[in-house]
Amino acid sequence: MLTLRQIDKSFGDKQVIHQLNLTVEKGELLAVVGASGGGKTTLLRLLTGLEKADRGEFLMDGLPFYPDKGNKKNQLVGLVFQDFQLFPHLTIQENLLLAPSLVKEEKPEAYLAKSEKLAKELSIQDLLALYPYQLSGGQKQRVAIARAMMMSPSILAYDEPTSALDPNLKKQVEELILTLKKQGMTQIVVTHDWDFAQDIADRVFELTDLV
Amino acid sequence: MIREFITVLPQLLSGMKTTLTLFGLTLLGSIPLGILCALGLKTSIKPVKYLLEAYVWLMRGTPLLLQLILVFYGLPTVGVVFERFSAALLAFTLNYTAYFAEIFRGGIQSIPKGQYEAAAVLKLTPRQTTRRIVIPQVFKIVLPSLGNEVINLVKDSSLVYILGLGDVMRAGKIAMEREASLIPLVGVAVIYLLLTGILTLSLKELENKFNYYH
Repeated sequence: MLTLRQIDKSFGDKQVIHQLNLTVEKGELLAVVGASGGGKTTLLRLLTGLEKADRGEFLMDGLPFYPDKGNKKNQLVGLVFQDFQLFPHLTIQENLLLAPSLVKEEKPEAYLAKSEKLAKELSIQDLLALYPYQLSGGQKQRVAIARAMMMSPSILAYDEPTSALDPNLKKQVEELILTLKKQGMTQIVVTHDWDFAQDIADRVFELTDLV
Repeated sequence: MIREFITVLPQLLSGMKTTLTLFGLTLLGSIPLGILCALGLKTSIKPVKYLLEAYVWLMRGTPLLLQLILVFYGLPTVGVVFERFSAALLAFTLNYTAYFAEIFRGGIQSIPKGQYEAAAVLKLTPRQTTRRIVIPQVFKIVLPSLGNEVINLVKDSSLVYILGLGDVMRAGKIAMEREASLIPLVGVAVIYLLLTGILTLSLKELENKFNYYH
């Protein structure tokens, strides 16, 4: 279970997150909605350590953790970026293998079986030898999810997962997120799309606009 | 004319040895040093950054010819003596490192912030991110500008005549004065054109190799 207590975050004199309290149960699929500039993406950046909270506490199963420091070898929150941010000079297979092998200081081959299993689950097994520029938006999305899952995070977070996709692909992402939920994955989906949030989530959390 | 050209060719080719050695060794030193300087120019350690900025300004702000003279004739006045070729190599390496540093700095800056963030979320260290994510992408971005400088280097190498080193240009000049003819200089031009032509083709080939991704 992830707990956030009294989290504050400002950029200069602009307070983006104020006294935020949030709990995400294990296996829960939480959608975070809110207006643009309301702090949704900032919340994900805090959880993944890309930003440091000004105040507040992060707890995982009751134990405090510090996303910007934390245990390098056990990733707590994996992130699927809005624009995927796949590494363009690496094949899909290399995109999947790079981080676990570097971070856990093992040969990439040690993660081959895992990457192939994930690729199969996410229907990207035929794309492993390709480069990101050869993929469609929906395929890139799946690769980004697979890359995040290669690090075995406790929670998988998505930043606006449907914003770059057409309605057909949106449906596919929805199914994919629900499949991962069935497998017991705890997920946080940040979106501006209320309908999408209500369709997929166990619970919708609204971040109020402080601007 | 052709006979005259064939007569001076051995001398020009022997001068080419100096030109090519200087060219190769300068590249070998200044490309890795340029990358290191570019990383240093992006550091948050202010004294290092300012020192490197001053170095780049000094090297790019003064003529290479002047730097050659200062290294060979100036440094001995403070007790540092280099023989001719080493002095030339040192001056060329220092000068080209500064240009390469600026080229690589520009390349590093053009890597999207999101790539660093993706690497950070995946728990890669800054060193791993630089080595495995940034540098490989930077090479593709900077290759055209790098190629320009590499071709400039071939031509700049003719400046070593000032130190009395026997490169292609000096060999041509001596032959011109001896034969009282401009034909040796035409030979010099042909050699430079051949060298830069080969480099242009090789660089194009290298650019094609890096085109495996967009």
